[in-house]
Amino acid sequence: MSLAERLAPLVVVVGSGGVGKTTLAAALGLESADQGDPTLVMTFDPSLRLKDALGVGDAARDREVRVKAATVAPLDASLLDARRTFDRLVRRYAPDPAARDRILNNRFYRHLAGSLAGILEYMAVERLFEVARAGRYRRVILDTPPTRQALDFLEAPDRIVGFLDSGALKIALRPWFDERGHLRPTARLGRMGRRLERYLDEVVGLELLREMAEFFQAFGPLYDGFRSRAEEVRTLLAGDQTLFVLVAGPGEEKVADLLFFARRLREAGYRLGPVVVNRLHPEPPPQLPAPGARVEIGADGRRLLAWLGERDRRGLEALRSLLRPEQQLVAVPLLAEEPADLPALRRLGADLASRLG
Amino acid sequence: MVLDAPATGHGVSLLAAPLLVSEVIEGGPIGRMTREVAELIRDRERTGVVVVTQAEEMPVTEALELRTLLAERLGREPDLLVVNGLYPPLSAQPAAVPTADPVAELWHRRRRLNESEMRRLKQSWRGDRVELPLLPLGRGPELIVALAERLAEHPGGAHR
Repeated sequence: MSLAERLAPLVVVVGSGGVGKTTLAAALGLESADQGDPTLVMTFDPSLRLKDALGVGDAARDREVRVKAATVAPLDASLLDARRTFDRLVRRYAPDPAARDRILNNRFYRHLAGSLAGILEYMAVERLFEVARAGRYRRVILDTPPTRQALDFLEAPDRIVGFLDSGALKIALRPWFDERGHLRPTARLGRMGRRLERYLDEVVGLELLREMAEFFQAFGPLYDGFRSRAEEVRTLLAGDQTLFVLVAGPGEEKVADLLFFARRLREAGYRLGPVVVNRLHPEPPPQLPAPGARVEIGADGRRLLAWLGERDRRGLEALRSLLRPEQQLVAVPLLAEEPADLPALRRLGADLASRLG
Repeated sequence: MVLDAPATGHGVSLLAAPLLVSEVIEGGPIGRMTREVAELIRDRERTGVVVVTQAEEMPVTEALELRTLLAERLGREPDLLVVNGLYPPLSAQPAAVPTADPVAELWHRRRRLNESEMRRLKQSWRGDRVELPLLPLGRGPELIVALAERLAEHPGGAHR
């Protein structure tokens, strides 16, 4: 079975930060396009060289750009940027230019909205939805943000729905301020109310409360859209058309985390495809250096190399024995140089495809 | 007190949070408290910032970005840069990479990558720097002791 047949229309590459997810996602994208499927790679934070290789500059933050590789089918790439996606949503759904500018210039929105937990993850999901609905690609490969808890990403839609349905939002949406900018509830309390208002002003600043209230109200027209999209994305991620590829670094220390993550994915109802252990150190042959080699490796160096190879082999063995027998496990060796140009990425993609069988 | 901060972007958000809140909530007890915390983080006499990285492309780029973010958002410099997990230097510098021995070749090229990334760091990073080698020790007390010894030996790491 070819890679194209094995891979689902939506491939989500997950794993902790620094394990080479983005590189593997790009390599898979090239391979998928080479097997004839128009493909999009959505990435978060590629290295400069990878960005150059894919040819995705700043423009890729707002739209999909064509990768200049002579693949069989076209390959596009895009960069995910939470702030820009958020701004775009505001522009699209705000009822009129005045409301749009009110949100974009709101102090609460500018300073805090981008740092709210889960916003980055949610915006990725939002962008994914836009692309999935447009239906221009036969395959989308989604790189996920480098969060420590990579599951945050998957839980983002649920969290947003939870927040939208929670009492907290209904409270925030009440008309707290009157036309003159005074707090309504305290205005009813006469002199005591005015004192309470002054106290609140001193503690957090009424101006901030006003801007928060305005922010939530300005967003009112967007809530229903948010909720229905979040639910559709949840369905999309948990459906048959989606396959998760779990990437981890080598070594025994990573085994527990990886098993935990694999279990959480399955428990949440997602379809777990191959587990990829990336950057495995080779086991050195017993006699080093080889005859004729011009590189001297001292005794310490030899010990370190042997230790790294042994550590990574043990890690892989432990994983194999602990994962379900039917779980596909693929090891990708450490390369002498990080693949950061199109030919190297293509080789990695083809190599990965052959290992996936 | 030593705080093990989250990865780059999240780490800066964490350190900049008091400043951000103190700017949004200017007056009152919350404003005062967050301003004090922001001052504590900005004050190099009371708070040291150690940036830890590896000599590979992405980590080096992130370390440089982190320094820019610290300057922009907190108006301060980091106090120490630690470059961790370096492949040890080769005892000979060959003119060409040997093809007979793939493991030696891998080693050689990884070390070269380390060296070119170190050069990139040195070009724009002034201030104290400590280099720590990759050690054949698993995560645990033994590794911590070995790294602590190397940190203490280093003149840049010892005086603060």
